[in-house]
Amino acid sequence: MLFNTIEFVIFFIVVLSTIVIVKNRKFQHLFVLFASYFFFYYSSNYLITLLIFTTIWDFYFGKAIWKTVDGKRKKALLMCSLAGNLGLLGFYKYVDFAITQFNILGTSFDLATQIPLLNLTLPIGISFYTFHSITYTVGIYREQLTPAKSFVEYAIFVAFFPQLVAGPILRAKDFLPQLREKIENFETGTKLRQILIHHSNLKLGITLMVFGFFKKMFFADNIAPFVDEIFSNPIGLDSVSIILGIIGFGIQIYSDFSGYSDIALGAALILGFKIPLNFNKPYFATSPPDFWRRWHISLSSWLRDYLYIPLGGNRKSNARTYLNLFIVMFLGGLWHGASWNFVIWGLLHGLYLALHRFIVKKFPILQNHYFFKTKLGTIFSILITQYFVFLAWIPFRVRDFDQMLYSMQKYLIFDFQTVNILPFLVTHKLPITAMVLFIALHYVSYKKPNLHERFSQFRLGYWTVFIILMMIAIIFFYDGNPQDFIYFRF
Amino acid sequence: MNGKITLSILVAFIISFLSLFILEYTFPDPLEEKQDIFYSQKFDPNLKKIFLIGASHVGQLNTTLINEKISFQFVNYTVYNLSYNGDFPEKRARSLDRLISTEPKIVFYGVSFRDLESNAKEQKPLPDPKEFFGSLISLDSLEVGTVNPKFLTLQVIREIFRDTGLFPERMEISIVNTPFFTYTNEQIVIANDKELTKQSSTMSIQNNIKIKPTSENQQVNYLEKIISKLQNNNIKVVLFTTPHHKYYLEQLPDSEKKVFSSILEEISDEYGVKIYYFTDKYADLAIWANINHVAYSKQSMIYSDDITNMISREIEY
Repeated sequence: MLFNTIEFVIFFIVVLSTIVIVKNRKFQHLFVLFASYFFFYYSSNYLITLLIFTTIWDFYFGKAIWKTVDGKRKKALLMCSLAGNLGLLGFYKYVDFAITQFNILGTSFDLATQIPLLNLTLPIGISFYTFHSITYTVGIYREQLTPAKSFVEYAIFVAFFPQLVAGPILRAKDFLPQLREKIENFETGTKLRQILIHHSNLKLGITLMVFGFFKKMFFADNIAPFVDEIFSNPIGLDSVSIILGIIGFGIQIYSDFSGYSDIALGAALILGFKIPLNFNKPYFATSPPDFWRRWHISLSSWLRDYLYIPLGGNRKSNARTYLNLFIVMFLGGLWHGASWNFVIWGLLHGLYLALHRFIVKKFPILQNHYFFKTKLGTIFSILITQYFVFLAWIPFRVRDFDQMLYSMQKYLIFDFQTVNILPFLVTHKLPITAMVLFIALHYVSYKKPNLHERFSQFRLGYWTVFIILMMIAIIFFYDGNPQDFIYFRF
Repeated sequence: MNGKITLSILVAFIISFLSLFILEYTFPDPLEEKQDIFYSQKFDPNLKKIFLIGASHVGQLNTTLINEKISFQFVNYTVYNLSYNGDFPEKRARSLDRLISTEPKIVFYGVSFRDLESNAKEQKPLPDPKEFFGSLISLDSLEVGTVNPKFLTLQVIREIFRDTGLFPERMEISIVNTPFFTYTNEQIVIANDKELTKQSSTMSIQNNIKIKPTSENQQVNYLEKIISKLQNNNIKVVLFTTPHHKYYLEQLPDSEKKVFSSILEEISDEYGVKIYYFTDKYADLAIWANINHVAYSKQSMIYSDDITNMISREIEY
């Protein structure tokens, strides 16, 4: 079920109303699980069996890991759990990609037979719920958490509808305690928590959701046709068109994904659940590591904690640290999709991180140089970082290799073909205006953090006017067809 | 407090949607306005009307010339081209009653692959709740789904800034007996091969055109409803497939072409409707404005001439 449809609005109203009316805790928890499964089943149909399989698999492996005292057996059980999760993810997401590569290799060795593709439907959200689930068994293995007290609780954690299909990636140790009553700050009780809709959460949650809808339906959906037009066949276009196209794509993907995250955060908050922030003004990052602290935070921190650190992180030799960075970013790229363009995107970011690390290590004076502490220095750092971030968006957006190289060449080497700029801008007034407006608002949100909180603290009358204005902007620029969220494909 | 917040949201919903309806009422759809004018006029009862309907592929016909030839050949016959941009059976069905009220003699429906493109539901092994809930919350009866708010808003913005020169108006030519269709410069000029090649490389037709068989295709259902309703009102219906350039046809998968043909054959058998095929008749000729549309030009008269012959044959038949 897409967030930006009338079906979701009705679904959410029904969920909230039921929770408000029926106060029984057990019922409320069961109902949230049922609603989450319905939400998933609505668009994924039989593929819900995979979600249920993952849930059952990890619930019992989690218990088994917890009960086992022997370290080796514990490790073996964890490996089994990971094999089940990653095996399913690998099969559904990467098997056709692997077959294609094998066939290409076979052709170059003159092998006559070709393995037919399986053409499997990619289950929506599989990359996300697999990663959720892994945090549970690994968490138990690392003794960071105890197993969920009931299957329902664990199933809610895996399938919680606001974040089920496109994150943010939840961690069991952060979410499971929220299903129990809080005794003290860090302790959870034995009683199931009653789901109450608190007015401050309701107001803040609605504000967040409206922000999310605005990002998705006003910015992302209105800029998307412009980006599609440019990158459907960029060959022959001048540098200005390519640069504007990739700026448009950067804004589109941010608005699309952070819009989704805002709606997820808002919906969860209304139900009284806190899920982690996924974006923090990434286009104001001053370095590649800073970008990854601000972009898709739940994935980058997952990759750090469950991949980079287990690989040795930066605790081993310099060469190994660089290798680890590349491995993590390679897999991070591949996580986005079974295609080489995502791998290139990941490797480019790996290169940025490695180069940044190298420069900082080799020239430590640079990091502490007074210039970088000035306003001008910050602006300079932001521009340089974003220049490379947007360069990496090209392989993310353009799949065809020739078109990708052409676009990168036009981005890197400006061709000074400026004759067509004005007619180009004139024929694309709406997306260009949306892009300028986005940049202005992104700057405002950078200078004044937590805008949604500020707006939610308005007096009710002013807040209503604000919501009306946002809704008018959303509805008046909606083209009648709800567009998919980009990250649904991943 | 929760009640007050809920009330605020309800108010916000009502006000924002009401604003949209007010906007729609203030700035009605130009096509709707044109249709109101056309269908409410008093036609000469002695004239027998021939209607050409369909999307822009039909709009590119030179109906002035077709009408001249037909009215010369057959006394008391007149031809109207009632095509408009973006037409498809579902949309056409909405104005069908008004069309029938003018009592045409024959309706020629130009059908292209795009017309029968459908978002047919995937076959799912388990029951699909979308079908059940989709019909429960359908807004079709309110005709809310027919409004494109973005199109409307942009139209209003253009209207407001009309005198500032920010939105220069495109020169559009109107033809008397083609009331719902206008011609811009791009539709008049014949494109060269280089331009057509570029268009075909950017259109990605193979991914965009998916035609489902009759049983799963909503547009075919609408087309059948239109045919049967016209026939029930003693109006003869003839179908013709609209032409496409070879670059378009080369990109279109054979599977879609086969489904399209079999749908038309089924309709022809079931409703006794005659079908004329022009799909690939001019595929190689230099008469195209783009790979989808024959140019509205002197050099492209062959298309209009063939349609004239088709009409003559059907009047005589």
